[in-house]
Amino acid sequence: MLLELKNIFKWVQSGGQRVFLLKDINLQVQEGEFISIMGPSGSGKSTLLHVLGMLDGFNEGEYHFLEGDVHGLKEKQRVKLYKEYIGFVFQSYHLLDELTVYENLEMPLIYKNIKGAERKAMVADSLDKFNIVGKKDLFPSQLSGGQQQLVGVARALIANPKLILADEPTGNLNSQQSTEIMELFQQLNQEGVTIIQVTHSEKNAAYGSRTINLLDGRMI
Amino acid sequence: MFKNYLKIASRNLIKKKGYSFLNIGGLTIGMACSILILLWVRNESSYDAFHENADEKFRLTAQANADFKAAVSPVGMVLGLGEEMPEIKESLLLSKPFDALMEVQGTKFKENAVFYASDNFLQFFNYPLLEGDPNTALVAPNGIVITESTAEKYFDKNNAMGQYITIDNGDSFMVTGILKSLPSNSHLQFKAVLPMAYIANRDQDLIDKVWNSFDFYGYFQFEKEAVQSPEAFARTIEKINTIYAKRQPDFEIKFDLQAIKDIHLHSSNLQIDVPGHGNSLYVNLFLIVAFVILIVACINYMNLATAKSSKRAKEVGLRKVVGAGRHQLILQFLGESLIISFLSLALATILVYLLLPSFNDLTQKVLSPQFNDPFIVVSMLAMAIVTGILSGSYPALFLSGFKPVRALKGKLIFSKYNQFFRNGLVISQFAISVLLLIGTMVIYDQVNYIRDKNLGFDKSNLIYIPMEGEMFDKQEALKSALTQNKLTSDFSIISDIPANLVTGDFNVSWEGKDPNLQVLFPSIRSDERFLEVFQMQLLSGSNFSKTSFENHDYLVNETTVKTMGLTPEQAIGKNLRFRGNSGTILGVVKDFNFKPLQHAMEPLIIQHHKGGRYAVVKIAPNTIKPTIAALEEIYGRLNPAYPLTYNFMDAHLDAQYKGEQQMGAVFNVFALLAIFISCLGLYGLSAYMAEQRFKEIGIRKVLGASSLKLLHMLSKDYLKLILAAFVLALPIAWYIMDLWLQEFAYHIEIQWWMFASAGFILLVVALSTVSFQSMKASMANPIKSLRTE
Repeated sequence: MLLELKNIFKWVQSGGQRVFLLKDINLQVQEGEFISIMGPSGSGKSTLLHVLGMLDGFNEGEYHFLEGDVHGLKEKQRVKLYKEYIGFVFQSYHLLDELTVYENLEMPLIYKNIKGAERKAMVADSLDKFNIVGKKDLFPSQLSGGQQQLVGVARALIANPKLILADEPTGNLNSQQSTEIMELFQQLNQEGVTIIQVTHSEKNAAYGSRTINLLDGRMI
Repeated sequence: MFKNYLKIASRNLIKKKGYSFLNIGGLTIGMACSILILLWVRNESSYDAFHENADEKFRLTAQANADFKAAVSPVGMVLGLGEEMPEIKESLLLSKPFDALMEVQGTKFKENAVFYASDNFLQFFNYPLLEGDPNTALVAPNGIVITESTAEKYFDKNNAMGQYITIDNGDSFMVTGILKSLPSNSHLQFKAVLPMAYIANRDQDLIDKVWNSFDFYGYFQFEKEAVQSPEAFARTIEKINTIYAKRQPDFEIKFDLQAIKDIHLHSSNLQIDVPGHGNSLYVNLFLIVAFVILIVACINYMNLATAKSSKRAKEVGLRKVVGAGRHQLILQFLGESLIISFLSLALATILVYLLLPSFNDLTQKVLSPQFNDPFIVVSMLAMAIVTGILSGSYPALFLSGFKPVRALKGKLIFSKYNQFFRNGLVISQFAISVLLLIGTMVIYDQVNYIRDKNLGFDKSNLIYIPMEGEMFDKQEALKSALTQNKLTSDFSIISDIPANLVTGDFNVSWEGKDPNLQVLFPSIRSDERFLEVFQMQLLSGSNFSKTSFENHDYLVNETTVKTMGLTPEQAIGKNLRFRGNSGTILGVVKDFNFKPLQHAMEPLIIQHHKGGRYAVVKIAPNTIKPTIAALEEIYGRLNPAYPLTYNFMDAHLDAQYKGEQQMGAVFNVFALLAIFISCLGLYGLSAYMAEQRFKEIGIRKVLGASSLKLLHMLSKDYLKLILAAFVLALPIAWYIMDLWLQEFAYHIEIQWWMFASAGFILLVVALSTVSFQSMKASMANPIKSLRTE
């Protein structure tokens, strides 16, 4: 088992009242799964994804990742954990405008303290794998949305994570670009990468092996 | 990793040109100012440190009472102290500086600043010799040691040694030594030095080895043990005072030792001193100014960096998501500010090279960019590092603390704390500006006050001519020649110019004088036209008559009468013994200033005398040229060996405050620069603030707000900050400026309008800086701002 959420509650205090963002979430994810999280706006999809990605905390419950307890960890150890095992893909790509494609890909490796020569090889591999060798010296603003998201996916994968978390990865793309990205995800999943995506579209959800529906912070 | 930071930083710099310009520009100007001040301070505090064993060498100073402390000592004491104090290794006697007419084969120049010095002068002080033997150069009574530039003026460069120079149309002196150009950081500046042996048989003080007449400078080198610890030093001074008290029980003088390294900066309270000293107050003041300017520049950086932090939030969030730890981000942002500060340092260094000539003009110094001085280099590097870390620390801590998810979503809510902090920074900048503005105004006002102060006499249209050479013996002929010419007939012959009087006697007594009273009485000798030519006011009694000289009649000033405990009316006809001559007080003159305005009014005795050392001529309006021509004619006829030297009284008086005027000018420049840097930052800040409120402005406009209303809304916030800064700056400004004004016995009072106008100027400058951005934002088409959402 890759990870497990047990009775997760998350709330914020607003006007003296608790507003629940997540209510009693129980979820087990096996390695190699491709899960889609669906639900209307405000149902807590992104919050759940952020909790899974350890970017956000929770108020009650337990989170086990690779048999370890996440809820007891300090921030530094959490950072270490997700740096090692998790990659993120965002709706609006979030590439750094001041860096080239090559440098954007290189950044996570720098933070993992990987040596220069090895870094070079890994970035070259990745560029090769995603067919963007020709674009390596371009800046994000010189790429189309689809190409930017391709770089985003490549960046998420470059450090060989076990888990990819994608927050509406095709939200800003047209249908043809969407299909390309989803097919890429499917292919990666077949290669053994676990993927959890948040999506609005039934069509995209269909690429996954399992769908979780959320409504008002509750799994239904 | 560092390479990556460098890349991001440099690309950020290039991409945001305006922002970079404001930041680097501000820091560069700030650093350049600081480096200039640093060079100046370094020079000011390096005086006389080049002499060997400078820590063991001291100058003897004498204090007569609380108000009168002088740099001079009696000859006998300087020469005799060594015999009674074995801890004195070396004693040096130096005369007061004087002007000398030097002549070599018809070439005549009046050289100011010539000294007589005892024969160990060149061993005691380490002025390097180009030629000659330091041990013997000043032994023979007819030797002369001249400086390189003096040698070049009179001789071919290489054969000055052994040549003769005639001085004051009298004796000839053989050049026995040529000094390398004097270090500019020497408190003694001179053109030539003559052997003390030459006047050993002529000067009465030297012949009698007196202990009660203070006319020479005395320097001593002590054994290390005698001056090293504060206790030993105090004991040594005590010993000197005991010796003197034994020798002169009737005189109550307190002697002190002044380290030669302290002479330049710590002599402002000493009278009868060599000219050209600095003031430690200004050194401290300028150090503070340098520091303040750097702080202002740092604040700019912090403000701009935090203001645009929303723009960098995404980068921070993203870096965190891909695994950056907080410390890595802190390092990155600190690295960025360090890059900017070192870039600014490089630019500032270039700027210093370019500005140094003008700065030298302003400060009358010959500073060179001493980038080989380790102290300067280390200070500069430290400045860049501290500036970089100081200005980068807040943005670094602030930005690196962002929560990644929120930062990425752009849902950052800037805390009240951040707003508070930024306002605090702006307030301190404004406060510093108000402070400097008030400083500028007070200094300007004080310098003007000194220049225009009614001295008690009319200093305008007065020309004075020193008596030289044969003129001393031809004073009667001079008087009749001056009287005969209508242009020059309004004249007076006096012994001393009432500008910086260096005379003073304790030997004054009157009936009923308190025997413990020890007051120094400066004196002037003059003819009967002194009061008229200088347009001084007689309070009671009458002016000198033709027979006043024989009768020992005295004129005294108001302060003398007060010292005697009388009113001006009571004093008339009272008996006064002055220098052993008993006479009567003929008249009381209204107090006039005969010393620089740093000093309080002292008593003064005016003696009648037929001859004098200066002829002072009052020129009728618009006749300056013909009068000078007439003087030249008279002078050339009576004293052909000397060229006429004349001076204007008012110019001479103004020159006494050159130090203050220079200081004021330098302060002005730095104050303006500091305000300019603040404005740079404010301009950038207001741009970002307007940008942040772009959408709000759009909505308000759609809802019907006029541009004027919006302008008001946007400027209102700054108004509050200015007010807060103003309130903060007032007491500090008052305290500091009052401290400076206390240096002057005569000074202006700090007025409320100085504060008011400083506040007003700042208000206008700040609001016009801000309103440009506000105007742009409030005039923009609202559709534009709303569409971007």
